[in-house]
Amino acid sequence: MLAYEILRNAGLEDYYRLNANPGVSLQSAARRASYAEYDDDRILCQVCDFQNDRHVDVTLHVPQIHCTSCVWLLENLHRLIPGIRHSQVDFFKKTVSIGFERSRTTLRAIAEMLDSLGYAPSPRDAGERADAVLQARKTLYLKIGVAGFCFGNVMLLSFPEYLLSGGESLEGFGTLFASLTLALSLPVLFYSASDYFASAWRAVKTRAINIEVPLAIGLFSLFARSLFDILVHHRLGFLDSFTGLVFFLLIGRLFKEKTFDALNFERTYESYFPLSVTRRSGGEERTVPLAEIRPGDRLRIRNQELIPADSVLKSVCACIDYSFVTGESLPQKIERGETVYAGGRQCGEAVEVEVVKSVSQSHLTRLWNDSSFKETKRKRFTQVSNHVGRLFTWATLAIGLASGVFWSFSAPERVVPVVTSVLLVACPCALALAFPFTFGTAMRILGKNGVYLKNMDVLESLSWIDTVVLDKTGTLTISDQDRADFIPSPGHAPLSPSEESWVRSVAANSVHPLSVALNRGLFRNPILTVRDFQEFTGRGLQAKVGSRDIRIGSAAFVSNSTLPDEAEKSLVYVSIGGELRGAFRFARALRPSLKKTIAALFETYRLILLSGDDPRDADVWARDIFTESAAVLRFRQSPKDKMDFVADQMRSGRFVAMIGDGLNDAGALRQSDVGIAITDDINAFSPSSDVILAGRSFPMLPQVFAAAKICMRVLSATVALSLAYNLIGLGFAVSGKLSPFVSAVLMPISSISVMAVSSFATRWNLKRSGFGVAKEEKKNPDSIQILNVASQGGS
Amino acid sequence: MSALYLLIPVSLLAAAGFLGAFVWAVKNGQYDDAHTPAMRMLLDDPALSKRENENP
Repeated sequence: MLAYEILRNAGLEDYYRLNANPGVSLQSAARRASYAEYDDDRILCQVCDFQNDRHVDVTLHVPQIHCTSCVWLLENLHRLIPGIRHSQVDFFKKTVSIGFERSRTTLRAIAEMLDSLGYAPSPRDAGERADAVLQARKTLYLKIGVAGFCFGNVMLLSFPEYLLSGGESLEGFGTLFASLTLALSLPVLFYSASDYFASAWRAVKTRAINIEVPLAIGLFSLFARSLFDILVHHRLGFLDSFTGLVFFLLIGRLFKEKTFDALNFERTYESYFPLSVTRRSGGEERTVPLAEIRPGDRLRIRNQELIPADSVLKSVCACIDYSFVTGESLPQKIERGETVYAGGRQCGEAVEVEVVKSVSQSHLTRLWNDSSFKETKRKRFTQVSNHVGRLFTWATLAIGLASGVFWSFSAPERVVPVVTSVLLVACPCALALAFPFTFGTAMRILGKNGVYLKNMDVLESLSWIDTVVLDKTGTLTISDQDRADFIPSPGHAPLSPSEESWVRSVAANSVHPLSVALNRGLFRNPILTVRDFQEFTGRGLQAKVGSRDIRIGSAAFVSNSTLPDEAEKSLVYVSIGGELRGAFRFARALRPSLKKTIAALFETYRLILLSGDDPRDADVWARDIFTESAAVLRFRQSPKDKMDFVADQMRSGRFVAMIGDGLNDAGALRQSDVGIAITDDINAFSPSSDVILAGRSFPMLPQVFAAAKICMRVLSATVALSLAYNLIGLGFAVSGKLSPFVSAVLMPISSISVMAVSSFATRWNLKRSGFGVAKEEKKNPDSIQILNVASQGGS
Repeated sequence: MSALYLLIPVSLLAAAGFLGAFVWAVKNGQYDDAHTPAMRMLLDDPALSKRENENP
């Protein structure tokens, strides 16, 4: 049944009305991947939140959720499957929580229905990590709430003293207000500001002074000085500045975190593989979890199933699609006895394989488990924030010392107030706000334009890049849009549109990968009905369109005669009415604007192409696309070759960005200073990248590098601005004239102006360099646009 | 004016009550998902005509 029919029968056609680009295509035939594993109780336990003998609550991860109609449909699941009591979507986490009754439906039925609708559930990834993040976020909310509450009240209580004029005094109220402000500042000091003190302490212990050290010094001086003023001098103290600073700093942190909420980069290889596989032992088959597979096990891999571990093929032949691993979308024919690698997908009838390496030892996962992946990337330059942090710490201490010494000669009783004033006013708080607001704004704008950064540090790393290494297949070429070029036989004309239509109509009846490719390549031609369709495995297809005999397949099959062997495996011959007309060759489409983008990149960076392919069209690439002869083009590079090459470049002092797509690039992506994974399907990216670039945004690559440099410039400007405030404050402090009032005025002004200037300057500059900054349309709220997976019938 | 000695602490207490409500809301998970409710409130329920055995 078509997905549309399913929805209409349940009265849910409104789904299509709700959204111009819903996730479920009207055309998509119900795809039935096997969900047999969901019958297994162990699987149920993995996704289950609650169960008793009548009722089960599960949470399924559904990456296809991307718009309002997805939410609507998934929350109306109870109308599609009787037995579901409720379902609730969490849009950001892309999960749906479903409660159902055991007696009326099963998890497997639910999974299959979701798959039919185009919302195939995927194994729950990083569930625990999501919870940890949520806990941390809750704590941050609480800290902000407490800081805000205290800040507001302390400010109110401080006002009366500021508004005194002439000879007035607060009389008894002064003590009341002072003690209340002190009481209100304690939660801020011990709870809300605790992270800053902890981080500064860690930094001092490891001698890696960062910006949190002078921050902590400043905050502490503020509090200590105020305590002293209140208890000893019965004055008001600086507590409104103190609580306000903590409040603004925490808001800066929240801004930073919300900025990269939309994308969770944390994935392990396990989230790519199925939950379980079918194992044959003795005469029977059982579904077992991945972790139980051992070398020597015999597995049954059905159509469209992933091979979980390196194995040897035991069936006669198989057709494996390695696009997941190598980016090659044309499937490979494998004979009995050959090795099939983990990550390959079987196309066609079920086959049997014998496991050679365990899942964790397989070629692919070994690459991922390489020790270099486990550590966070070390940066080969000192970050600006650390530079500044160090500078501030020493400058503050030096100035404090100097002014203390000076005043000890002329008026010793002013030493303590002056030194503490210097310490508290030299707090780089505005500075600490400049970083999250500059980088955070940039990250949001880049995100709206299809460029997703792992964290803010990546922006700074990007600004250092001088060398760009590119992968070819899948990166510069789009693996989905194969073009089918027809090469006519000598003496024959190319196919007419109606003839192409006949060919397509025949090919559409077969699920052989080359037929599918032919179907896709000829998508513009309508499909007609055929008669007497027959498929001969390994040789070709035959059918009648009208009265004409159409044959598609290998040369021998099509023409009943011997022809010279084709040089490439991917030629598909065609005969119409018994006459050999020629062959289709499948070429991969290049990304739009490829030449322009490469040329633009060339202006500033060294470019290198590393490809795993044969040097088939090497001269075409060198001549047409990489027109400068200075570019280095290398072919037949294995994943390890790529990684080593990048490491080499880095050793000779260059800062390297690697742009690739598949898992086979993982090593190089990880090794480079910045790894950029380019993808057309947002949910199938490599976990080792620092940046994810949506395929449609590839032409913006030069601007992305430029954006990083823009950010650094805006950052310098805002640093200068915040320094100006510090200097003004220092002027007051050193001369002994810093009063709470001055501080209370300077502090919010400096914080807010730095926040505003950094946000707006970044926005304006990025807009000028070509990034769209407008809010996205309704259909893609704040999150990533997931391109529809092309259905079998056409595009 | 001496009433202020009583009034100010009392108002602080009232404000603290609100802070407590905020803390409860965060801990209770009210802020866990800030995005989906915004989408959900704009959606209509499907028409009643085709409803079969609706679950209670």
